[in-house]
Amino acid sequence: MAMAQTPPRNFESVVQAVIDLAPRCEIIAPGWLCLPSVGPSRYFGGEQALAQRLQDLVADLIDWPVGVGIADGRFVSTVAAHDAVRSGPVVVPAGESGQHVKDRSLRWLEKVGEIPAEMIRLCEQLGLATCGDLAAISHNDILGRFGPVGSRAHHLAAGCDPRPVIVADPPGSWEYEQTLAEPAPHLDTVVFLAKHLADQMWAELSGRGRVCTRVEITSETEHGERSQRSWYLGTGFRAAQITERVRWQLEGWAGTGEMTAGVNLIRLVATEVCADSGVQDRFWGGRSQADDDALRMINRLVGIGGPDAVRVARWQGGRLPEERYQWVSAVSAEPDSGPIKSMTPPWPGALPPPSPAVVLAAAQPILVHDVAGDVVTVNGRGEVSAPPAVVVEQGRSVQVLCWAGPWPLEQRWWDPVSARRVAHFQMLLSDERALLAAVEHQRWWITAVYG
Amino acid sequence: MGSPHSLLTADRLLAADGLALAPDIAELIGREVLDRSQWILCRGFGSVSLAVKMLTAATQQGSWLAVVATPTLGVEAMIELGVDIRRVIAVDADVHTPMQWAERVVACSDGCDLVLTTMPAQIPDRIWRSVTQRTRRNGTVVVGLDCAVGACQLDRVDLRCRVVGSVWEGLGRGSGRLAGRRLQVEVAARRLPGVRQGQILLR
Repeated sequence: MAMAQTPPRNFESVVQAVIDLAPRCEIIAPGWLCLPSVGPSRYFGGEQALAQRLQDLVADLIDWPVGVGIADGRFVSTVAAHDAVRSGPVVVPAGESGQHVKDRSLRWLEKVGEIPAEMIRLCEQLGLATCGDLAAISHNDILGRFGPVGSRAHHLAAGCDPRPVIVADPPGSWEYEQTLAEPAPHLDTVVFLAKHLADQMWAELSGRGRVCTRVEITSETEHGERSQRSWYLGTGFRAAQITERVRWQLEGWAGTGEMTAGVNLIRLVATEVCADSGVQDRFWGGRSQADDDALRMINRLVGIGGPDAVRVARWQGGRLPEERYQWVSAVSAEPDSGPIKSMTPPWPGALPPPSPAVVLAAAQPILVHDVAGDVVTVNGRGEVSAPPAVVVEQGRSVQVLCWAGPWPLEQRWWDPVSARRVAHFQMLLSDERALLAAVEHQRWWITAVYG
Repeated sequence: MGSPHSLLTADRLLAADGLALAPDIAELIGREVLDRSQWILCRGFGSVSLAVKMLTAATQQGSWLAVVATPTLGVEAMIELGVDIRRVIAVDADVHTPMQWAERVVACSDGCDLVLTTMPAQIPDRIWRSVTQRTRRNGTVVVGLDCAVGACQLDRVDLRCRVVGSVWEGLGRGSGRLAGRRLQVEVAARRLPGVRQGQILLR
C-alpha cells in the first residue's frame, strides 16, 4: 500500500497518525509511505475499509490531495495511489497487480520504481512502451541484456515486488548507536553523529558486498521522548542518503513540538540487507559519494558546454613536457580503463623530474646572449658557443644565474616532415624563476616554467 | 532542544569535515586540516607548485579537483607532487569574462571538493559575492593562482600565501639539473593579525 502527493511539510503528523493505525509503516520519501496491509485490513474489516479510513485520516491532517492504493508490492500500490488521488481509494485485488500496470508507460518505473532513466530510454528505443510489453519478454532475456537492474524492472513491471514489505522483525545485527553524555543542543550535532554512524555502516556493509535497503532510525531525548521510523530505498542506501533521512526525520520530529529536551541517543539499524547488485555504475574503478557527485557535475557541465567542456588527463608518452600527457574529453575517456599510465615505460632522453608546473601552450620566443652580448648557439654536436648569461624576454633582460644543458633531442629523424632537432636548457634567472628553454634552428623559446 | 531551525543542510553537513593536508603544508599554514569553504590565494614564483601541493593529500583521500581556466598546468608536475590524477578534471573558462569564470567555478564546486583556478584580474563585487557564497555553501576549497588581483579581493580571501623566495638545489653553471627547491612563504589569514613565515621543500 502506498500514499502519495503529500507535501513534506507537516508530513510528520501524517506518519504519526498512520503509525497509530498500522505500526509497521515505512517511509520512502516525505510524502510517500508504504505499509503492509495484511494485518490492519483484517482489523478494520477489509482492504477497502482500511484504504478509506487511511484516506479520511490523512485528508483531515493536510490540505493536499491524498491517494491510497492497495496492491501487491510497493510499485503497483504507488501507481494505484496516484490514481486514487482523483478517484478515491484504489484496491487492486491480489494477483492482479501485473494487469493493473499493464498499459502504463515505462516512465512509471523510472518515476516510482527507481529504475534508471537510461534503461527506460533504451527499452523505448527497442519498441517497449508499456510495463506489459516489458513483462511479456522472458525474464532471462532481460537479465542477460540489462543485468540486475533489468531483472528488477521486469519484476516490477510484472506486478511483483522483489522485496516485499516485511512483517516480521529481522535479526538486528547491523546496529550502530551513539549515546551522548551531554544532550546535543542542536540538531546538527545529532545529524553529524548520524553521518559518522552511516559512514561506518556503509563501509562495513559494502566491505561485505552488501547494501542496506531499509534502515530504522531511532532517536531519543533526555526526557525519554522517542522517534523511530523505517526508511526504504530499493536500490540501497549510501551513507549520505541515510544522513539525509536522519535529517528529514529529526526536522519533522522537531516540527511537531514533541521534543522537550536535547537528543541523547541516535541509533541506526539496517533492518533489511541484501547483496549489492551493482546498481551504481563504477567510474574508473573507484566508487564513493565524491565520485558520484563529480560524475553528476561532469555530466551537467558537458550538457551546458559540450563534450570538450570537461577534460581528463590521458597518458600518451613522449619526452617533452608538452607531449607526455594530453587532456582529452571526459566523455570519450573510457571508464574503468584507467586513463593514466604514469611514467612507464621509460622514455630515454625524457627530462628528469621535477617536471615544470607550467607548460606553455605556445612556446614564447626569447633571446639568449652570452657575456659579450652575442646570441648563444648550439652546434650539430651539441656544443654550446658560450655560457648563457642573459635572457631577453619581450625586450626585458634578466640575468642567468645557473644553467644546465644543452640536452639534445632528435625526434622522428626518419620522417622529414615531423623530424625535430631540439636542445633543451634549464635556466635559473636572477628574478628567481626557473625555466625550461629550447633552442631549435638557432632560435630560442621558453617552453615551460617551474612555477 | 536548542534551535531546530539551525539544522544543517546536507551540503553544509559535509562541509563540517576538514580535508586532508600533507604534514609539511599543515605546518606551513598552521592548520591540521584543510578547512572547507575557504578561498586561498597563492602568489609569487613557485606558487603554482605550492597550490598543487596543498591539494595533493585531499585528492589521495578521494576528493575531486577541478582545474579551471588554467590550461598550462603541467600534469606530470601534479603527479610528481602527489596528486591522484584520476580525480582531476580540467575545465576551460575565459578569465577575461568574470561572469563565465564564476559560473564555471560554481558549477565545478557542485561536484568537486577542490577547485584550482587562475583568478580574473578584475572581479565585479556582485560576481565575487555570489561566487564565494555558492562555493562556501558547497564546502569547496578554492585555490586561486597568481594574477593581478585587485587589493580589495586580496583582503577578502581567507588565506593568502605568497612565495617570497626560492632556493633551487642541484643546478650549477653548465652542470647538474634542477633537483628540488626550498620555498620561503608568507601566510596571512583573514581575521587573524600578523603574517606567518615558513619554508617548504618541494622535490
